[in-house]
Amino acid sequence: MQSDSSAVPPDDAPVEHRLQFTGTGGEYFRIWIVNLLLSILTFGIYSAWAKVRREQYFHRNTLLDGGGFDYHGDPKAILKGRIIAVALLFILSLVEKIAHDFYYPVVLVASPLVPWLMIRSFIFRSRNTSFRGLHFDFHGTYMGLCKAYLIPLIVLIVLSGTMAYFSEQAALEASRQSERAPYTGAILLGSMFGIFLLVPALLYRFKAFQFNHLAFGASRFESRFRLRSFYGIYLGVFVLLPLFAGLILASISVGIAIWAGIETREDLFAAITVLWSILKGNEILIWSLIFLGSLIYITALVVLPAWFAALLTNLVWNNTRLGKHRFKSDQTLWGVSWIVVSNLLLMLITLGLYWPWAKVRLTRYRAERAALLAVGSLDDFVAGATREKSAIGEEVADIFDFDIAF
Amino acid sequence: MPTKPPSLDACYYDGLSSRRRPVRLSVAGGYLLLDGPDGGRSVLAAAVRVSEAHGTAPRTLRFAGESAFCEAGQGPALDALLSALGYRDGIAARLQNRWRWAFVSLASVGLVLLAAYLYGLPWGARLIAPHVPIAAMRSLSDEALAQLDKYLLKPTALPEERRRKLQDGFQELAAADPALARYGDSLALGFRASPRIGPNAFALPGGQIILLDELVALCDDDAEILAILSHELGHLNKRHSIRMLIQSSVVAAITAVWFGDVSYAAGVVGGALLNSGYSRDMEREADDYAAGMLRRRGGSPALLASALEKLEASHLARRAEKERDEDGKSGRIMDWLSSHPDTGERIRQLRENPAAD
Repeated sequence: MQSDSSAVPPDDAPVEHRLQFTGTGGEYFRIWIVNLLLSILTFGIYSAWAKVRREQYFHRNTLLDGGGFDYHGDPKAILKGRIIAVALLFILSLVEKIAHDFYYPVVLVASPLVPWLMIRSFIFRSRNTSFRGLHFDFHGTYMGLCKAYLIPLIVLIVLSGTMAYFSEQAALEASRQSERAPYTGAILLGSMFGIFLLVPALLYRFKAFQFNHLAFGASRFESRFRLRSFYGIYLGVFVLLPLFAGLILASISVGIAIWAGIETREDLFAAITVLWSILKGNEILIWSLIFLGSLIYITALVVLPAWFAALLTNLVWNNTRLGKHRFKSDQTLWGVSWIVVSNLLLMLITLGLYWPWAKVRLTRYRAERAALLAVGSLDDFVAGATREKSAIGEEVADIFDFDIAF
Repeated sequence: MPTKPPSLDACYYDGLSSRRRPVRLSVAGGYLLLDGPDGGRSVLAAAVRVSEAHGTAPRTLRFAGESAFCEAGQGPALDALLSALGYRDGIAARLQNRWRWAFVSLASVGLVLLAAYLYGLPWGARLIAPHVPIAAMRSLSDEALAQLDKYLLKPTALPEERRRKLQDGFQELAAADPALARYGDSLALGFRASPRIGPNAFALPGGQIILLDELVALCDDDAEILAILSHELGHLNKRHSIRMLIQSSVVAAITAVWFGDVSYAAGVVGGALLNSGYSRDMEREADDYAAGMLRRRGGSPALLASALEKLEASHLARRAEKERDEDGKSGRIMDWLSSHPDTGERIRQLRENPAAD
């Protein structure tokens, strides 16, 4: 038997290996519903085993060059992580409800835990994923993550504090009709805008940190991102597209107004009155308008984040390499829109039972829109040193080996 | 003639590099045999760990204590090889590969959730309710009352003397039940008016009972008002509102998780539909408590019955009026949303069964 990748093409001609996803909604539905039943019957304890089954299903059905990915997470480590997470959340909500004054001090004291938990969860996930017998790894450190985040985070905290302070102030001054109200309002808007402008920078640092510390065996991934690409996605999805949609809507309404011969303000009022009287007598029309309106609203709620996720995935993979190999992701806005909107409708109709099919459809789309541009053979990766168990005592590793990601 | 021993082509990875080596797998004499261009080896059948079947994905055969493994595509050849190795799928793996079991699981999930909602949840809430600190309920109730005062309630217009008289009657009632002492200072009667709510009285989880002027106006007799108040004390004694609070937060949390992927709004609406007002059983418990209290004080449960009759009549009248005013749109929706323990049945019980305790 001749393996596919042993035929070595010339170095300058990358071979495109598309990811393949072989799972189906029906298969995943059966796994999901059995998982759900067993999780309920065991009061959630089985959910850790359920997660392993789910991850294994999705990993093993993702094929690259004929070989499957694999997931090796230990259910007991996941259970431990979930117990820790639930306990933390429970304590926090208890403090918030009963000893409200201590809530913020407790949050402040607990916040250094967050980067640590993130790192542990990245390490857990990458080390438990393998391809062709080699495990992924994550080399990011606590201090590294703190450093990457420190400056933008301080700016974010200052801005949030300013916003919180001035929003109270603005409400107070507005009620007193103070002369300073416009200035306060301007500071408030400015700090809100500052936070809005900061988010892409945070995301940029985060993705750069994540992908430049990821490894496959002993080989490190390398990502070269440009900050302005993140701003581009952010502004495009959350500013320009809604603006564009608004402009289209506005021009349609103006067109209708001209067509209907509305020229003066009185004409407009008259038209509204006529529309109103049509609506008022017709209960079905009112309800269908309400239904349509909420459908558009919910659609926008799912479509915008889906666009954002698709563009972000494209950006990240198209600028990442692993040794000589590069990656490609070419999700399209239409592609993801169709999937998330039809998924949403079918989930509403089936009261959520469509979920497994929805997840499989999205996973398949994402997988099949991603490719490895391999230069030379895929045979040459070697295992990293971290798989050796000598570095840290196994027990210590075991205590901290948990997955907190839900 | 013996059947041909099972064998199939697979890929071998050593776990040290990503190198893929083609191998031919076969079984002989309790061993898995691997044979490839780079040589061969044999592994004891008992040391082979086979991955679960995940749809049509290739399966892995790992070797105990080693990082090396084989990856083989599914099909009759692999099935024959696995059965020759003596491998059998685990229970969960078999369950999740059959549609019949999927439907059984689906039906069971439905039944379990229904049973948990109907029996488990009230039972759990009853268990937890006595351990909820009154102070926490108090701060929650104060917040709720502040909101109500802002939007729905108005200051009372009752003359002070009337209020003092009702207040004295209320204190006397409350003092008669030592179990209510745990509410401490929080147990208090508050007076408000609300033309929008109409004649009503309600108990907040922290121990405050709010009596609306409209109810005072509706009842001819202070004894009837006190009967209603003892019904509300019943809700407090049995911690009904704390129980409802626990139940509705659990339902809201679960529906939010379930519908979380659809939309948060669906979850909230679902929670509201499943939980509004006290349950029938809770109203009955409060009625029984009030009947007992009235009897001990030499009154009759019929007082509560007549007060309930008046409330029901006024409620019906108000609804009819509202339907005339607004074509009944919002009124009808609100009625559908609010659970409606049949008042007629409760009145009949109170009248017919005055001796029951």
